[in-house]
Amino acid sequence: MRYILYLSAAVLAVFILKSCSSTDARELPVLGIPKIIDGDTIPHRIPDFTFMNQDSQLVTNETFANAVYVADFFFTSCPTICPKLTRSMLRIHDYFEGREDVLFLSHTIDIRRDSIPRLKMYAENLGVTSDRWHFVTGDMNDIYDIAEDYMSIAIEDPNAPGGFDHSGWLILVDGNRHIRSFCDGTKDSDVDRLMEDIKILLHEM
Amino acid sequence: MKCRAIFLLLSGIFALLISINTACEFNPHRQGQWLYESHCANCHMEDGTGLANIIPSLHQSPLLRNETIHQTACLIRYGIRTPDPLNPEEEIYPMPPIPDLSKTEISNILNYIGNHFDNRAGYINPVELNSILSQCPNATERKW
Repeated sequence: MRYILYLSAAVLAVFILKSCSSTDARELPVLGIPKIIDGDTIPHRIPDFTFMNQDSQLVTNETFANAVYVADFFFTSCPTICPKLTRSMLRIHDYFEGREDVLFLSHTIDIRRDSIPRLKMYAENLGVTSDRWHFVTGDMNDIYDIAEDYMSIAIEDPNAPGGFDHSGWLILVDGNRHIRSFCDGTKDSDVDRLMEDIKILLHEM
Repeated sequence: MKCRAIFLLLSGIFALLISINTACEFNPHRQGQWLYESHCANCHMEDGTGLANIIPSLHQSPLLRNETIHQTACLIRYGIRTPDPLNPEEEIYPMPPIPDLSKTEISNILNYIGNHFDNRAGYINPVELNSILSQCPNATERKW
C-alpha cells in the first residue's frame, strides 16, 4: 500500500515538473515551405508589400518592423465568415490594448467596393480608433498574391455569397516577417490559443 | 442471480430515462436554434450579440417584440437593403435574403430568437405568417 502511495506521488511529481518546463520552454516554429538556394535553407518570409490604410497612409513591411502582427483577409459587405473573423480580431485587439508591439493588418479582397472612406467607416463602426489596426486596400493582384504568402486563399467567385471566396485563418507574423502561428478565426477556442502564442512571441522579442 | 437480473433491468431503465431526458433538454426551440446557427449566426453570432455597429445585436430587439415579430419574417426571407451613405448605388453590411427557408422554418427561427436573447415575443404560429409572407413590402427578387 505504501509503495503505491510513493509511486503515485512520484508520477504526479514528474507530471507537474514536465508541464511546467514545457510551458516555459515552448517555442513557436517558423511556418511555411522553406526555399533551398545554393544548398542553404531559407525559411518562408512575407515578401515586400505596399498597401494603403483607412487613413490614406502607406502601409509596408516597415510598419510592422518592431512588432508582431496578426493578418487576415475580409471584405466589408461579407455575409459569410468575415464578421466572425473580424470579431475575433477585435477580441485580440482589445485584449492587447495599448501594446504598440501587437499590430493588426486586415486586407480587403473587394477593392472595387471597399474604397478608403469605406474602410475608414468600417473601422469607425467597429469602434477601432487606435492606429494599431490597419485596414488596407491596394492592387488587386498584389492582395491575391500575398494571400498565398500568408497561406490563405482569396479569390473572386461570382457564385460565392457576396462574390468572393476566402479562407478564415488569422496569421501571426513576427518582426522578421516569419509566420509563427495561425488559427481558425471562426473558433473562439482556437483564437484563445493564438493569443497565448502572441504572448510567447512577445517574450521572444 | 435473480438479484443481478433486477439490477441490470433497473440500470437499463435508468439509462433510458437519462437518454430521453437529454434528448429533450427542455429546449422547445431546437430546430429554430439549429436553423439560426446555420443561417444567421455567422453574422449575428451564436450569442446574438452581432458585431459592434456593423451587425445589430438581437438582444432586446425592437423587431422581435410580440407586436413586431411577424413582420420580421419578411426580413428573414427577403433580406435588408442597406445603401452605402458614401455611394448610394452600393450596399454596405447588407442582410442577405434566404429564399429557400420555408414558412415553418422561418417561424421556428422566430420562435427561437423571439424567446431568447432577452426577447419575450411569445409563440409564433406558422399559419399567422401566411398572409404576412404573401404581401411583404420588401418582396423582390434579389441577386445574391
